[in-house]
Amino acid sequence: MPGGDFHPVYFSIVAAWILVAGIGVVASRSVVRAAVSMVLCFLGVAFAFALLNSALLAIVQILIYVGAISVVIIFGIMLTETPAGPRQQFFNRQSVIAAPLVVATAVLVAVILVSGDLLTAGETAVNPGLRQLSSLLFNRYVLPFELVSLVLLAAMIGAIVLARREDRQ
Amino acid sequence: MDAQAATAVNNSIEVILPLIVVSAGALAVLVADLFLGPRTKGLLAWLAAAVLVVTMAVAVGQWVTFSGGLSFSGRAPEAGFADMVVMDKFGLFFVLLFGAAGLLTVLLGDAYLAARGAARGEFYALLLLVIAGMIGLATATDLISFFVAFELMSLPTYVLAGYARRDPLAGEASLKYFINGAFSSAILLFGFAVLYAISGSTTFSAISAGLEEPSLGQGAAMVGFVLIAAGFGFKIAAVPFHGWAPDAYQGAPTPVTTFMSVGIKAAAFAGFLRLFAAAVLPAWEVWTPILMVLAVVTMIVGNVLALPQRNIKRLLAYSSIAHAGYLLLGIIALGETGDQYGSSAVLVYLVAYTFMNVGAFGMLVFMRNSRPFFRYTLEELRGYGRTAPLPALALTLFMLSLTGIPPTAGFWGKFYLFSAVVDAGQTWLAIVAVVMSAVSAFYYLRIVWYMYFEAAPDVLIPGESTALPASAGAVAAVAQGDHREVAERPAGDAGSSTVMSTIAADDPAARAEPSAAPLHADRQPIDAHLVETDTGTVAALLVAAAGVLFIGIWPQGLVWAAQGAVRLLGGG
Repeated sequence: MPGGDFHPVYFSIVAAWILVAGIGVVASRSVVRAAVSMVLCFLGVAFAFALLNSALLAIVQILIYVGAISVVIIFGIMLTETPAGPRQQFFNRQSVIAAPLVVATAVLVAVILVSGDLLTAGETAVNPGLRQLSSLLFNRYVLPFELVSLVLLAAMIGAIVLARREDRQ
Repeated sequence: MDAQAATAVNNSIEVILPLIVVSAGALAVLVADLFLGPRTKGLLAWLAAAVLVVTMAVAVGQWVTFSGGLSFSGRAPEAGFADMVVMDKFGLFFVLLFGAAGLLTVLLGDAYLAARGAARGEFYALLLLVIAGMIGLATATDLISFFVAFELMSLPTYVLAGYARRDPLAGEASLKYFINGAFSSAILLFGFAVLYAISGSTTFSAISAGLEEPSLGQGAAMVGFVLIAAGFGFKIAAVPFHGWAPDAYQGAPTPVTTFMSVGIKAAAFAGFLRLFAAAVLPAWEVWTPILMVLAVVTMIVGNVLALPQRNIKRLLAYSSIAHAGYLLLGIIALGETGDQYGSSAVLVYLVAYTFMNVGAFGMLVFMRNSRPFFRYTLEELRGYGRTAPLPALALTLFMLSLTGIPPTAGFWGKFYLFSAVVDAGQTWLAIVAVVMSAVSAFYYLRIVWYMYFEAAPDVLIPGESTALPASAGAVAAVAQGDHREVAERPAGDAGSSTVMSTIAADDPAARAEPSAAPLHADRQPIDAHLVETDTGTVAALLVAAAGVLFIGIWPQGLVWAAQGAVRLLGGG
């Protein structure tokens, strides 16, 4: 396993935490509760990274997801009105069919991937130091890195276009 | 080490030159938007068009440096940024195609957006960013750059689909496209992760080498390719991943729909064609059956569901799904034979499809611009052949081409695709495709039938008046504007005048009866005075018609270019 020792007990606890929090996100009836569940879910993922010895990813996860993104989402909830319409229109009855399908697919994929002989991760993947990571970002991966800034620009313009007040001429 | 890396990056700049030009152009449009007043905003369309022309010129220049121009021999493709991207004829071919699709969209969008008073600077900036992503996708040779370019292409498209914000249908289109797109991106990424796990690399050439190893886990490969095919299928709207397409195509502003159906589809095929040819060809036995299932189901469901459609925009959405099915045949032929004949057939088809589909959707833009209450239904086409002979002729040409009847571009596109799949020994696929083309003839030619063989209505169809907007003032304003316009219009445009005067005649009824119909932007009266300047749409239609006929009469040039483009793609 990447990251040295694998602790099945700790990992199970963290995995259960992530799952419960994740279900809380989609199942809660209140947007605020869903947001808080999401923060907990992000935190659980950070613990999972830490368990796998990826300190860097754990820190990034906490900084960006638990920190920035959660704050933005909670602000978003605060600033927009809660939809007061009938709740039914957000839920349909397809979950009866979807749930078994999702579970079956997940089990199938998991079984195949676990039983298949996949390659083991290399040294860089196991211990991505900050130095190596930044070196990779600005040398080998400099093009995707720059393209990501264009993606962010597009997202920003798009958000403004969709959200700004209509100008009447 | 650092100096070496710097030289490598400098050499790489040339490799992504078209990408740089388009991205810089997007920024230029944004900045120029700040300094232009409401009266000079029209310049932005010209600026965006100029950016695209420069991009295409750069691509032509780079193509020529591959010695021999159109000939098969050429200099080796040049990789850049540590094998993240490559500049080869394949990439340049698609830069030219994307540039053409973008130009046609700018031409179509100009009058359409002006008539709706939509802010336009961001529209062109987002369009150019999409094209930057498309170019990145067609030239990517690494899963990482592939995925980032894929996102750069997708994200602004979600916004463009919802650009007509006053229209609830546009909101639905945007949201459906966004949610489906976000899911499919995640699924695709999962597939890439599995591919990385079995091949040990993200670089296409190294993946190809890794898959040659006999120790490949077949089960894991199957999972990976199913996930990748699902992500791909969502983007090209292949059945069963097509659910979003009819609503998104119908709700998005028609110029955006045009671009989604030709540009995004071409880019997805470009990126995945390279992925299949250069990276995962050794594992063809795993992914070819998956694509076969997708292709057959897509051709059948797309064509059959198009049959009952009465809304032309929706009909064309299903037709677009069906065409994705035909296109998959080329990739299947590539997998079965390992040679590039199938790939070149895909390229030929994509060019033909771009012209004929831009033409078909462009006709909808044209009719919408000339008749403010056009609702894209078949019934409204009655008598169009008599009242507007030239536009009707153009629409007939595009429908014939979409059906695949010679001498149009669509015929040659289908000819090369189907013969590629026959060469690959999968004759049954070609038979399915031909039968389904015959089915498609029914709904394409029904449009032609309605234009020429159904009598024009003397009065508006029952129910039309109730669908008119409730705002009496707006209706009155449009009616007045129309009277003026009818008087000013040249006689050649009698078709739209007829409808407009009928609307004017029907006006009191509409005023008296408040409407219960939802207010769509598409049903709202557009500023009538802006409709007069429709040169952009007409120019786009002329280009599309010329393209369809030119390729239909002389396909050889395009075939040469396509064969040159795929020659060094990888594989056999």
